[in-house]
Amino acid sequence: MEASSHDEFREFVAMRSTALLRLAVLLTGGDRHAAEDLLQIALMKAYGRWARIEQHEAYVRQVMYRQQVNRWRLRRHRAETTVPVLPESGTDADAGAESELRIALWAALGRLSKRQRAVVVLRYFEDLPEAEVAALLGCPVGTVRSTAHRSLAKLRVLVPELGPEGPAERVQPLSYTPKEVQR
Amino acid sequence: MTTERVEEKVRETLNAVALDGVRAPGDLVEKVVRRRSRRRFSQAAGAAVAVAAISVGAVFGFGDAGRAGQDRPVRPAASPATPPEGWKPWQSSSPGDSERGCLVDGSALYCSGRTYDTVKIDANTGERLWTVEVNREGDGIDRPFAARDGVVYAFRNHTAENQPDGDYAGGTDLMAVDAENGDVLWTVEMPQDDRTAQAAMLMDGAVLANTPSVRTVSALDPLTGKEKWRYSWDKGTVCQRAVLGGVPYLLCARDVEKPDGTDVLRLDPATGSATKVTTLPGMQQLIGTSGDRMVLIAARGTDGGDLRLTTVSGSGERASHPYRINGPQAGSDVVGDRLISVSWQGKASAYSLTTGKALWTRPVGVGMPDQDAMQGLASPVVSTRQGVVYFLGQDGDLSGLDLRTGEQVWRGHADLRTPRPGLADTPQLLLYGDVLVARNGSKVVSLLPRTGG
Repeated sequence: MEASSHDEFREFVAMRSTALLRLAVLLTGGDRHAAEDLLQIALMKAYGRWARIEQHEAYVRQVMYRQQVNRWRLRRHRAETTVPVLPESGTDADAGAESELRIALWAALGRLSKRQRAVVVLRYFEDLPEAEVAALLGCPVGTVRSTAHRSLAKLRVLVPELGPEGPAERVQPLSYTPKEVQR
Repeated sequence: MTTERVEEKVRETLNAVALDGVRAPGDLVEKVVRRRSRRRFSQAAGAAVAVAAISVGAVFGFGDAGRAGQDRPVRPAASPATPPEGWKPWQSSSPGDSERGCLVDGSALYCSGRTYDTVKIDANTGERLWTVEVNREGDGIDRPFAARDGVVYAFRNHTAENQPDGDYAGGTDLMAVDAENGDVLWTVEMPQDDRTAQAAMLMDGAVLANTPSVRTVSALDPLTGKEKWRYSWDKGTVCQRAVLGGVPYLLCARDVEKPDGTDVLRLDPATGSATKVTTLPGMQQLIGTSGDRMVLIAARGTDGGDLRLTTVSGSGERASHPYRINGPQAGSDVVGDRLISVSWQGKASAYSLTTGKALWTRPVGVGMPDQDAMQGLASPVVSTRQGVVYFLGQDGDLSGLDLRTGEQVWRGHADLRTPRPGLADTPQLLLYGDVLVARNGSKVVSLLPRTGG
């Protein structure tokens, strides 16, 4: 890498790495070690082609999303993982109940699969429409929709306070039907 | 609670997570550069390629049902392909069975998918014989990595849900499965989620696994998983692992950007005691084994394209040759005595590990993936009996090149489209006798390349 590109990379990391690490923390369900690993991998890929990338942050984010859903990465043993950062506590009774719900929800988000968590973060933290999530992850819109649906269903199971789906909105989630082997 | 309300709660929760205390470390640039430097050699040689693509293949190329020019010998190959007894062309699309990858052993395919950690498939017919269900979720790019003496070895998620305060929190188990009936014989927890070829491998009378810590290898009894011995190395040292003729070796270097040398250690298969075989200069990256030799690559210059390939035998005999590449490679694999590489420009090259000579460079004959989209190329496979190296493109195109000359001797196509494509997975090409098994996601196609005739 040329010196000017290296300086530009260094400047980018100084400016954006904390924001990107926070996104990685959400993507990894609060595992700080895994989050830094994920960010390092994304920056490493970006570093190698820095001069050719037009939108550096978009590129790094895309690598993080895809890396998270597509590949097993080195991750520390569970005993070595840091405890997820928890939401702040409320002060009055309502706020306390809300806070408890958030804590339970955050813990439940950590129990989603990597694919599900990536879709949830992109849809509800990044507030991206389904089509953009699909483009970022390289999958059909229908997959994003069904993954989001299954994620919310799983959260309802893990956090009973969310209650069941109303009958009117209960829909059959999209699912694959295994087929017989074709000969 | 309505869906909209749950979505709102999720949104609030994600935005309320106290991320203020999360700050990137000040030495992140140095960490990234140092880490990249360690991987530079393998990246230059194309060994580290992120693969993510959805197949957009066209028509399955059996008989004349495919596109014009499919499944046809371009030139006579050295030897015609003949199918194993009882084999018929088959294809299968069974979501959950094989997205993570497959292994061929005997007349069986052992696969891992989203629903099953291991599936046994009859390689002759495509019939599913037994399954081992996943723990919680199945994704990634791991696959059963070995089979021997009626036992299949694979990975699965570690779960601590049966422990008093246990819950699924990631982690990986090494798993042994009875090849006859799919019974799980034993599992051993691994210290990290590394499911690459370095995580575990077969050695003489044991499974050599990177457990119970990241700086330890253990020899595990193949039938019980019990530890026979273990060998650990110092903090600040990284050790790559290889097995030659059943004997385990470590290639250890200081974990710094420019280590002085790489020690080659031989571990006694019975006791695990280490003996230093030789020391090689600088950081050497293991890229594979060829017969009774380890194949290593190291940078000679500073531009990353001027490399040196070294082969080291178990007794420390070594031979080094310069290896020049032009730009990053999409894939590179040690196959027999050859190092087969494919450039992003679609040129395949063969290099002799014995003589150190570049043998040929020819068009690979399949479409190249999009480099910027982090897509990669399936590893090629070689039929030594036919003398052909086969490649699989992202779109299902197949190409066979003469191993001696690089001339295209066959091309074909496999329809690897799935009815409802999901998130991208790694395509894979396998050889069952002379039969090719092409896989992308849950779609598997088994076909005989009509070469030599």
